[in-house]
Amino acid sequence: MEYLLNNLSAILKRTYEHLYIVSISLIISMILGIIIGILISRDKKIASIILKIISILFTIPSLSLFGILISILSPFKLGIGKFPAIIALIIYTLLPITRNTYTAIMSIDKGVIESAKGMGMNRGEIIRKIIFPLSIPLLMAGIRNSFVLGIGVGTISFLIGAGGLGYYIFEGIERSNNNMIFTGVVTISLLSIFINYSLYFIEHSLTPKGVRK
Amino acid sequence: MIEFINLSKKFKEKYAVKNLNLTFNDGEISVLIGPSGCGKTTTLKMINRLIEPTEGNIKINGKSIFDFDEISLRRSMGYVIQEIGLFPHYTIYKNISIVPELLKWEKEKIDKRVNELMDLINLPRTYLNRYPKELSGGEKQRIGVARALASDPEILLMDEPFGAIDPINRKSLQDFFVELQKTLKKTVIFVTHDILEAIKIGDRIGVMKDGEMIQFDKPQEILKRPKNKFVEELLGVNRNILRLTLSKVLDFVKKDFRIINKDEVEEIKNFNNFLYIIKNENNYDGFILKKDFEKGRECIREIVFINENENLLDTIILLLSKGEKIAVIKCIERGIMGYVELNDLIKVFEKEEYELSN
Amino acid sequence: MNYLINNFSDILSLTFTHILVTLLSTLPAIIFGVILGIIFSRKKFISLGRFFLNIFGILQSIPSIAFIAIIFMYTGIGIKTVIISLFVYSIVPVIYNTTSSLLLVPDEVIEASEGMGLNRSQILFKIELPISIRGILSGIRTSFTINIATATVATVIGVDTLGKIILIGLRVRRLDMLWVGGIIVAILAIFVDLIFEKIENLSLKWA
Repeated sequence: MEYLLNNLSAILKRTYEHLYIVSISLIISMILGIIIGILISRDKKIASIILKIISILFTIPSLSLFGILISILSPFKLGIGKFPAIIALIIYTLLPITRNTYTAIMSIDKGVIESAKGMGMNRGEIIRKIIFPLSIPLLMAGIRNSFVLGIGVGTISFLIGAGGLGYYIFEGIERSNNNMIFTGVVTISLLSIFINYSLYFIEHSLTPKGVRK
Repeated sequence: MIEFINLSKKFKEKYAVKNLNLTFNDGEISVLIGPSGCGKTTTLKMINRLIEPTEGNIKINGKSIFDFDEISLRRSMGYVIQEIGLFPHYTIYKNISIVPELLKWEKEKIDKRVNELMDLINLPRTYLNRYPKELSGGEKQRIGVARALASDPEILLMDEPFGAIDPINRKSLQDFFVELQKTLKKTVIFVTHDILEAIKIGDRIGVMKDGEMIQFDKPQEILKRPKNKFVEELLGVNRNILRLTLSKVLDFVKKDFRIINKDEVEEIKNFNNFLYIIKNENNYDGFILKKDFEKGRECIREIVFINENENLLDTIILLLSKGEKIAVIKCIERGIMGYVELNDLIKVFEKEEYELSN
Repeated sequence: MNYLINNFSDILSLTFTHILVTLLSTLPAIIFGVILGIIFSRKKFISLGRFFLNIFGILQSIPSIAFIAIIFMYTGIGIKTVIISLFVYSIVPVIYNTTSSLLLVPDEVIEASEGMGLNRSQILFKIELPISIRGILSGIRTSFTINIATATVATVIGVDTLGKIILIGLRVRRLDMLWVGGIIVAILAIFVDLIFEKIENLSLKWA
C-alpha cells in the first residue's frame, strides 16, 4: 500500500500509457468492425466466412500473436514497441465489435425495415432513425467486451516493449517484489472493473426505452 | 383511381406478375387473393415502388407513378404489413406521427391528428406514451392501421395485415376495419390468402394465379359465377356457406317482441307477442318465449346479442356454439331492433345451396 | 525452419509441458466447475448461486495475468503456481456457464418431469443437463482456450511452456524463434478450439 502511494505519479503515467494504446486500437477497430459488420450484413455466406476468419485470429493466444507479428514487422523496423501491440489489440478487439454489429443489424425485424421503406423513409433516414438506435445496445456491448479484453492484452504487451501497467506485474515477478505485483494486480483489476461498469452504464442509458428488457 | 396498364414484373426471366390491366375504384376495398407465389404481394409492392415494375405502368389519378419520386410517392400512401413493423424504440405516439413528421407538419397539427386517430381506432389516449411491446397483437395491428392513416392518404396498401393474428381477434379486426372504411372511404388494396376475409371485407376481389389475374369482380359475382375450376377450388366446397357472409342478419329480423320490466314478468299472459325481453334497469336479464311462459321462471334464457351488421354465417356459428336458437339484434345507437331465429337462417342456407346446384 | 529442425526435441518437450500444464489445470476446473455449477443452480442454493454469478461476472473482466500474479505472491516460482492460477481462473467460466445454462431450463419442463415421476437425479441427468449441454460445453471451451493462452504467458514464472520460445526470442531478438514459437502456439490453440467446435456440434445432435 505504501509502495502504491509513493509511486502514484508513475502509476498514473503507466495507466495513461496503458489506456492510450488500448483506446487507439479500440477506435481503429470500432471503425473497421462497424464497417465490416455493415458490409457483411448484406450477404450471409460472406458474413460467415469473414466471421470465421476473425474468430480464428481471436483464438490465437496474445503472446503467440505478438511473436508472429514481430517476426513479420521487424524487417520494416516496426518490430518492437507500441506498433505491434496496437496491431495485435486491433485484431483481438475486432471480433466482438464486428460480430455484435452484424448480429445487431441481422436481428432487426425485417418488417420494421420494410415498414420504414413503405412509409417513405429514405436510406439515410432508415439508418439514422431505425437501424442505428436499434443496434446501439448490442454494439455497445461489443465495444465494452473489446475494451475489457484490450486491457488484458495490453498488460501482456509490456513484454514487447509497449509499456503500460504490465510493468508492475512482470517486473514484480522478475524481482520477486510483492509490492509491485500487488500494485499491478490492483490497478489492472480496478481499471477493468471500472471500464466494464461505466461502459455498461452508458450502454444501458443509450438503449431506447422501448427495447429495454 | 389506380390503373394498371400492361403491368408486368420479371424476376430473372420469369414473370412474377404478367400483363395486368385493371382499374381500382376510389373508395373501394379491392382484395387480391391467391396461393403463395401467385404474385399478389409483388403486385401490391409495385404500387408504392417497393418493387419496380419491369414493363407497363401504374397510374394514380391519371399520373404515372414514375412521375413521382419514390420517397414522396410512398409518403402519399398508407402501408400496413403482416409483421406490423411498429418501431420498437418509439412510443405509440411517435410511431403514429412518423409520416406527418417526415412531411414536416407542425407539432400542434400532429398532436391533434394523433388524438383523432386514437379515437378512430378506439384505443385510449393513455396508450400514446407506451411502447409497442406493452400492447397486445390486436392493439398493435390497430396502431399499424392508424399509423398508415396518419397523413390522411387517399390510398391504403395492406399486405396480409391481419395474417398473424389469432382467429378471434382477427374477426374483430376485420369488423373494425369494415366499420372504419364506411367513414373513411379510402381506396384500399388489400392482399390476403384467406378467402373468408376477402369476401367479408372486399368490395371487389381479384383472384390471382401464376402472376395472372384470373377474375376481378364483386364477391357476389365470384361466388355465383366462378370463372374457372381454379377459382371454384379456391372458394372450396363451402362456396354456398361462404355466400352466407354476404347476407346481413338485419334482412331476417323479426319484430314480434316486447321489452318488459323485471316486475312485469307475471303479466305476460295478458300480452300477445312471440318473445319478451326482460329489462332490469340498464341491463337485460334474459328473454322468455310466450309459449314457454307457463313452465315458470326457469325458462328465462340468457340473451345472445349480435350487432346489426353481423352476417348470416357468423350469426349461425355463434348460435350453434352457444346452443341457442334465437339471437337478439342490438344496435349501439338504436337499441334492440328485433330478433332472428336460427331456423330461418338455416333455411336461407338450404335455399342458397339449392340455387347453386341448379 | 532451421530452428525448428535443430531444436525439435526441445520444442517437443516444451509442447508436452504446455499441454500437461493445461490439462492438469483445466480438467479439475471442468470437474469442480460443473459440480459447483450444478450445486449453485439447485433450488436450495439458488440465491447463493445468483450471488456467485454476479461475483464471477466481475471476476471475468480481470485479466488472467493478474490472477497468476496474485497466486505467485503466495506460492512463488514453479509449476504449482501456474497450475493453481490456471485452475482458479478457468473454473470461473465453467461455473458461470453451467449455472446460467441450468437456470435457463424452463420451470415447466422440470415440473412436467416431476409430474411424470422422474426422481431428482433422473431430472438432472435426463432432462436438465441434455438441455443445457451446449452452454456448459461453451464454458469448457472458453476455459481450455484461456488456459492454453495463459500457459504461454506463465513461462514468466519459471515453467517451461511454449511461451519460453517466444520470450527468449524477444530477449535475444531471434525472429526465427518468435515465428516458430508463435505459429506452434497458434496452431495448438486453433486445433483445440476446432475440436471443441466439433464436440459442440455433436452435442447438438445428442441433446
